[in-house]
Amino acid sequence: MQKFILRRLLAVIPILIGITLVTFLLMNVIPGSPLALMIDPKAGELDPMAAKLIQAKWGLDQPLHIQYLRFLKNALHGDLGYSYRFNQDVTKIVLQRLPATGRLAVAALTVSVTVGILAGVVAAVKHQTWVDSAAMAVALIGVSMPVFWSGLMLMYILAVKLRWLPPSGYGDGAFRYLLMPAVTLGFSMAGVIARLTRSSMLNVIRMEYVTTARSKGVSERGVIYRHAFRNAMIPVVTLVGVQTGALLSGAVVTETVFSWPGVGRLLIDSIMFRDLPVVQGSVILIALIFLTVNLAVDIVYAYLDPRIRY
Amino acid sequence: MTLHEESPSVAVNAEETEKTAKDRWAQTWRRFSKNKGAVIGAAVALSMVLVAILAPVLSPHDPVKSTLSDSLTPPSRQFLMGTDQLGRDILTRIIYGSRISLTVGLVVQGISITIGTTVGLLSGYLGGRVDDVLSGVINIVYAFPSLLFAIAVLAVLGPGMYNVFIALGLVGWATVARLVRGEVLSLKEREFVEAARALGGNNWRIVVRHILPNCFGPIIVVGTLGVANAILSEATLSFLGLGTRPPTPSWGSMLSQGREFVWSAPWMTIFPGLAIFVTILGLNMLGDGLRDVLDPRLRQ
Repeated sequence: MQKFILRRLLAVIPILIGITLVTFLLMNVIPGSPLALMIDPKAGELDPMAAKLIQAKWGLDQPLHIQYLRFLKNALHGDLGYSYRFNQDVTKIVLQRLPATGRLAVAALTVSVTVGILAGVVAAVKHQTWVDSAAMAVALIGVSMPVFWSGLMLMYILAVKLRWLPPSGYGDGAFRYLLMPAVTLGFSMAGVIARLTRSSMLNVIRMEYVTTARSKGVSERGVIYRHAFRNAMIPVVTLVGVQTGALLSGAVVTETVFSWPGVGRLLIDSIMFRDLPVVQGSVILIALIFLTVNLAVDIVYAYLDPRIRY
Repeated sequence: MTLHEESPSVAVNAEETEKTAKDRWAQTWRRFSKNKGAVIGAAVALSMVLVAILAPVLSPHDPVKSTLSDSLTPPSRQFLMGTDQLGRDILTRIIYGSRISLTVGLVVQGISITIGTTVGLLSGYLGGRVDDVLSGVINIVYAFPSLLFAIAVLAVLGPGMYNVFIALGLVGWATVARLVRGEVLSLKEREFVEAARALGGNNWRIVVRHILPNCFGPIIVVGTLGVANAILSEATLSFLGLGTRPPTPSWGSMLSQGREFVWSAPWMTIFPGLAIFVTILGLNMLGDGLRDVLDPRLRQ
């Protein structure tokens, strides 16, 4: 088991290097010098002497691979650069926004896992009845509905028309404000989970050990929950890990729709202001969360299914 | 099961091969036409193509010209889906928007399939070092949340439709490559490939004539679902202000504008969103249906 964890940890390293390298190259090569971005073009040309001094100060006169290595070294020390827009360390700005995104993600995940697994199990148990078709139709709708549209529709119905919930904002963390964003984001993922849970349950129900359990007189409820459900959950756990990517991307959109002050909205705002250090920092942080969650899921998976520890 | 699996068997003559191939097509077609979801999905996809082609004929108004005196008109007989803040007809803009969505879906998926199939074939068939390197790259690209990557690329390149092609194409291929690699790994051990090799076929011939055609089924399924995904991604990026630029009518940017008028002009968000939703739903149904029809593992 330790060997497995170690191997998975080592496998993360090239991915991390790949992600930071690509992000770094994107931010530093294509748009011309980062220096040009710091200066408002309307203010006129920068004095060449001053430009040289500033470049030397930020190390922008060094070759690119040296710049990348230094960036990597700084990043390992928790230093992701400096935001010219906020006049603050990027790490600080991004970490400030993290709790809001975390709350939204956890709430949405709770919604999607509860609704998705429940719908999937019910659909499988009532296989080929109208309940099954209805659950799968709703799941397909969930998969196909763009997050930003369902969010705006919820906002229109619940906030504008019925006035039950506040339309947007964080509201100092009040639960009423969390409800709509969490349901919007959660529902978009519930569909995928429901579909996989259903097909996984249907697979497991056909297995011999389920037949054995039935034939030795275990109640139907016991068969479903003790024997089928637990085994059917194995692929679903992996899916939830893979879905973290969709969850985080979805969070970017949901935060924009509901003016939720998380990392996602920070990312989009920073793009609009061309604050590339913050863009870079947010992308790397989000990628890091994604990798960590996937690693955790892989380890949980190995515990759940001993066959995986080859 | 396809034609190629049986081609090496000695007794088969060309005429019979042709006949079984025709039978298979007929059989696939029968299965397809019995699959309700696939047929509905195909109908939606086909109507979208027609709407995109016939946009100038179908549209009641001009998609770009603003008539301020008509701004924010609710749905009426003149403007079936209302107008936006510049007095442009929403229905017309949705009709023209289908061109953007369709173009993005097809171009991005074209790029993804071309790169993905090539990389997947090379990686799976050659194996060894080549596979180590290529599958490493595939896994890194696959591991990264694709929309996030597209956002990062567009942050640098700036908004615009061509940049959307690049951003989405750069990430979309990994899904295809993974799938093709997996297919090739199992196909190349099969008897018909061995037979082709024994008969003196070179690598190129084996890959192009025997392995690639057997990957078409899964590629079509993933490609269809990929078109849906690309359309959704473009709409999302445009909604975030990173995709197609105004005044080009894209469904995502229409929603982004409508967002500011949810209180006073909800039709600006309801209808473009509905267009995205129906399109994605249709393509997903088609993709799911095609999987049932084409995936040999699901066949009884």
